[in-house]
Amino acid sequence: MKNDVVVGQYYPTNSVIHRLDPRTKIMSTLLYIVFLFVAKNIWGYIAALFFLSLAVIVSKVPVGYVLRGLKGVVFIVCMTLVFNLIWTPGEALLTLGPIIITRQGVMASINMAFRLLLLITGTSMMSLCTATIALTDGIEALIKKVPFLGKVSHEISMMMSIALRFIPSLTEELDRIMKAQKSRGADFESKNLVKRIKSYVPLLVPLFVSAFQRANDLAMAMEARCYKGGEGRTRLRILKYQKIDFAAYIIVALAMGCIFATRYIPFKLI
Amino acid sequence: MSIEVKNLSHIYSKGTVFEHIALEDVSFEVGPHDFIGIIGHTGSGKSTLIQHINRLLVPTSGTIVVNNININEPNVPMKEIVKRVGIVFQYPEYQLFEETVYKDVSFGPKNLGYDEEKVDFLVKQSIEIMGLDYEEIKDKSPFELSGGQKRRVAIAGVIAMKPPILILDEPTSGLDPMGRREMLDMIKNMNKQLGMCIILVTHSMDDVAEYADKIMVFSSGRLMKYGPPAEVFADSKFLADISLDVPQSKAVLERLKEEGYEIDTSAYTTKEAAKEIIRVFGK
Amino acid sequence: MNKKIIELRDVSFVYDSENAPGVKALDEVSLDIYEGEFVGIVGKNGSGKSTLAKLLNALILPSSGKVFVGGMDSADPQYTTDIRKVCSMVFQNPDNQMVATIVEEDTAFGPENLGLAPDKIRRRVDESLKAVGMYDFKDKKPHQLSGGQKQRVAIAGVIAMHPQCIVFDESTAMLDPAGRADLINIMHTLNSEGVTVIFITHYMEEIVGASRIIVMGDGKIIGDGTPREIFSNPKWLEENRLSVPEIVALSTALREGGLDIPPGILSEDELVEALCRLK
Repeated sequence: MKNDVVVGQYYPTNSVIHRLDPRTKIMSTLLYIVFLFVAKNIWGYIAALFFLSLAVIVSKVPVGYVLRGLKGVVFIVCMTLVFNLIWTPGEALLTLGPIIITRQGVMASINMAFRLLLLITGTSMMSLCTATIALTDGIEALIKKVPFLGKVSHEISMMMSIALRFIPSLTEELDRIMKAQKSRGADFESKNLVKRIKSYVPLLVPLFVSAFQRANDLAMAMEARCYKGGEGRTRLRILKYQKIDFAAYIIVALAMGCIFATRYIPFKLI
Repeated sequence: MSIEVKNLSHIYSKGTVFEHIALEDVSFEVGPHDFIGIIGHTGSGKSTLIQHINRLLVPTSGTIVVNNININEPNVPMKEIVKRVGIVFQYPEYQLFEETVYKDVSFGPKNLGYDEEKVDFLVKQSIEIMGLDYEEIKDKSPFELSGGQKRRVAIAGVIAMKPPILILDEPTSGLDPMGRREMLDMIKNMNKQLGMCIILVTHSMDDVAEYADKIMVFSSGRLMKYGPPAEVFADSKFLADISLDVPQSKAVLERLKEEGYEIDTSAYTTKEAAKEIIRVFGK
Repeated sequence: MNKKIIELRDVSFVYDSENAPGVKALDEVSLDIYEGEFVGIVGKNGSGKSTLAKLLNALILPSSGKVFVGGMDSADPQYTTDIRKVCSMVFQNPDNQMVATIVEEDTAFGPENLGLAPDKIRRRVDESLKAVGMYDFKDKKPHQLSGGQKQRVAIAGVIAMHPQCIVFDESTAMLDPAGRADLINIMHTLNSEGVTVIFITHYMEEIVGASRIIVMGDGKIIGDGTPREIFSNPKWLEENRLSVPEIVALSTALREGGLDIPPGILSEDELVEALCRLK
């Protein structure tokens, strides 16, 4: 396929982590994120990094893939670093003209950088190890437990699944329309901002028309196949916790305990 | 020559696991008033090829010269290319976007920077070439037209740029049988009356047999055959090998020959084949 | 005669379009379709074919008149789901009828809606995907499939609901010749297994093998007969913006040229045979 658009970034292997129930993976990831913010000093991050690396090794996903998720956010991380570095008030360490770098600033940016990097690699690990369909199933099952959202859990997961389903179609469609309008002399690379925004009209109108057409077609096809919403609906796959899931929860709890414990290890960089 | 393609190759995602050779060493020439039919299976390279002719795709290697301009030279602006080559993609009605038919058709000529008078003339002319009533349709919204009318308006939007070369990708899909015939007759007319060079991409052997002067057969990214219909269809065994059919009338002639009749199998249109069968079987 | 599966009594369907209120898409149409038939429906663009198709599945309801599917009145909401179980539908655009992100999940969609038990759904999914030759693709994503493969998945999704009747609404229109031929083969296989097939198309050669052809024009049924009967009148078909298959055109030209071959020839084999009998 020439335009194999990848949504999510599932990397299939036969690892234990891949075989876990998606709910286990989602909950563990959430816990992991919480504990990244509980962690207070570098020991905490080192512990988190240690457990994350362990997960990567067990998952058999190549490290390169895991780190690829970072590429898109390097810029954001650097920006946060710079802001934290120069705008945190406190005890001055270094003065460069109007810019004062403080001890608190250095600490804050170190904290931020670790948190962000660990957070992004952690979540991308989850999506690497969980097929999109399992992910939406898992989210549906978890939302069901939330008091306010329980009633619409089916709708939410249906919406997610349809969105995922149609992103590649609409990307292809956009490419097609773009080529057609280019063939009619449309210029999408104008330097003039107003002109450039205007030039998107011939793309967006057909794209919306087509998206509505698709929505209409799909609604019709779903109805024809007896869809009446979530009520009375069964599933081909039913999520069921296995022994490995309980084991996983215990391991995750221990790991979180370790991260929590690092709060009490004294640390002073500067 | 109108189009000269030399040793054109195109490789998608070169150097990755997704590497895929879409076109391999394709060379051909097309004359300024030719009517070319391109046939081949889905994935045979047809659509990759046509996108090269107006630089929507850039070749991995090889050159494309259109009306004596090498279109991949860095100093050639896109406008100069689209002035020369118009492409009508499959289901072109999905590119309509303006409030009125007039505005939509004028999009192309306006992009070329023509003055109002010229735009006006071109819009009117191209709507009429497409067999529509200009006065009746010009102020309508393209979205309230019937499917067949939308398609015609969309094609008018391409020919309004007056390209001497017009490429059409499956322009008849989704139309009823009469609609298909009308569309093909209109295209034939652009070729014969207006002298446009037509390149028609289609799956229908019967259509190319009846309308095209020359046929290109693509298979697995290669140009396998290029010549007049009689020549291309003469080798029905080759076509069968790449799982393409010969026109049905020709298949009948060949079946009769197999049965032992002394019959000339060179005809490929219904009319010609009927003539030959009557010559042999009539009294 | 087999049992009636579909019955239309004086059905009209009127809708308001943007620039013309009260467009009559169907005009007092009456029609019976029997179990096991393979019905081809043809007609020019805008003749009401698609409207007719949607009425058979209770996707739309008649403005006047009655539609009965498996004896159930489509206007009665308590039957809607049952009607859709009896008579299912495959649409035109292969890309717009897959709901799920994975082939087998999509096939499961219908049975899931019917509330079947998971092991039963699994059985139906597997058997349906095998029936259309897509079992090996069950873990693929829709955008990894060709148009023809997507349509086969759409059929699997429909047959997993075990319908008695399937409407194909121009389901071959967006496919290439190979994809089209595949789909038609599947239709005939299903038909031979007892499923009633209703097939709307613009390609005359695709319905040569139908047991019955209905010709629509301006919201009315203007022709109803066997392929032989319908294709024996090329002039009339042309007047209604239709055509005859290439072989029929050739045979007609031969008869007009004075050759003594029987009328109503539909296939290459028949024509060759008839000609061989002459000499």
